[in-house]
Amino acid sequence: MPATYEPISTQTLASAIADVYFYSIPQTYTDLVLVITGTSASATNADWRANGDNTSTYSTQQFFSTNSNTVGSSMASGDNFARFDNYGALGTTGLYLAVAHFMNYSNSTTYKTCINRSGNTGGPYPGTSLHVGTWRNTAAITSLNILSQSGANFAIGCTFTLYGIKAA
Amino acid sequence: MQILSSPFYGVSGDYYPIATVSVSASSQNTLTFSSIPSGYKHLQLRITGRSTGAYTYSSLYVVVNSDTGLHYSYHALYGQGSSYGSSGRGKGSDTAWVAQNIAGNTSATGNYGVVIMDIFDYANTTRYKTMRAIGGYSNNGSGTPVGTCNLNSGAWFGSTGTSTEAITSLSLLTDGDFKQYTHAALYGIRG
Repeated sequence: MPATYEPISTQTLASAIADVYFYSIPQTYTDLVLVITGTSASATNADWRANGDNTSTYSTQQFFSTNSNTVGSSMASGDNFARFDNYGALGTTGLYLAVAHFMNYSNSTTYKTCINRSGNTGGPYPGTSLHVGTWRNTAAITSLNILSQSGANFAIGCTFTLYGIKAA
Repeated sequence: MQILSSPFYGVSGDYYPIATVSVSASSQNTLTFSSIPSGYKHLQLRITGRSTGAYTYSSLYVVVNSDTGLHYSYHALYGQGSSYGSSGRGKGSDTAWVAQNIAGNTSATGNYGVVIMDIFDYANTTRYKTMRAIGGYSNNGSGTPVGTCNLNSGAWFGSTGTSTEAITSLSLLTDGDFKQYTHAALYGIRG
């Protein structure tokens, strides 16, 4: 069996922008993995939308710690995006890192869910989190939009790398 | 910086698909990976799952080498809606790894939980075997709980409770059966 976990596309920002897109995602894999590193123009959150759908069809369960002694959990429902993180995890200082797994993204029978672990070392809310976000749509994911919740730009140098994993 | 979901991302060339089990009928009680080759360093299970149980969510259990003795331990950190906590049991209480949660049959139609489980150094014969897993589901604010995020870890103490044999098979169980379209894929990572 050949190896899998193949890079599909990498974007390294040459200018600060609020939205990053991956279009025409190949349907030949089982799962997608998105790795994000970087900072932002101001403390903000990174979110995602699939297939250009900005209707209220997303929800996210969040489990997180911020600063040195705050632990929390919450559910965000009825959003027009799902969340990679919360509480301004993507700050102007320190490094933000997220590894997001879009599971079984190319099937057409189940809702699409992403599980993400992220962490950041600086900004007003250094911490770590686990997020499970669901898009209540059975369509295969063919494009992804990574966006900052408050419209703050992702900073120059941010990297977004998409991988594909193909099951046996 | 915290350790993220997998140490294995970005290692193209070292990550191999081993086998996939998909539920094509209306339901299936057990998903089994048998005769797991020993030529890898670590294993990873990637699951999208839903049970037939009349719950918002169901536990996902993993039995190693068909051993259903009280030879497993687990610990978990979890967020459920707006509450959070921890749970766990030491060796002597469980007959399988309490590995994660998947969606139950009263969650929204189409909703499947997701799980990624890493099983470390599975083929060695000198140490107990350990796993960690992340998983959960989001049910858009309805049901109890409305969603979960879990970080679990566990140990298997061998078929005698004190033995260190290699892992050669994994069986997945849940509360009820696995519902149609449940999908579990096993991967091997080279060392």
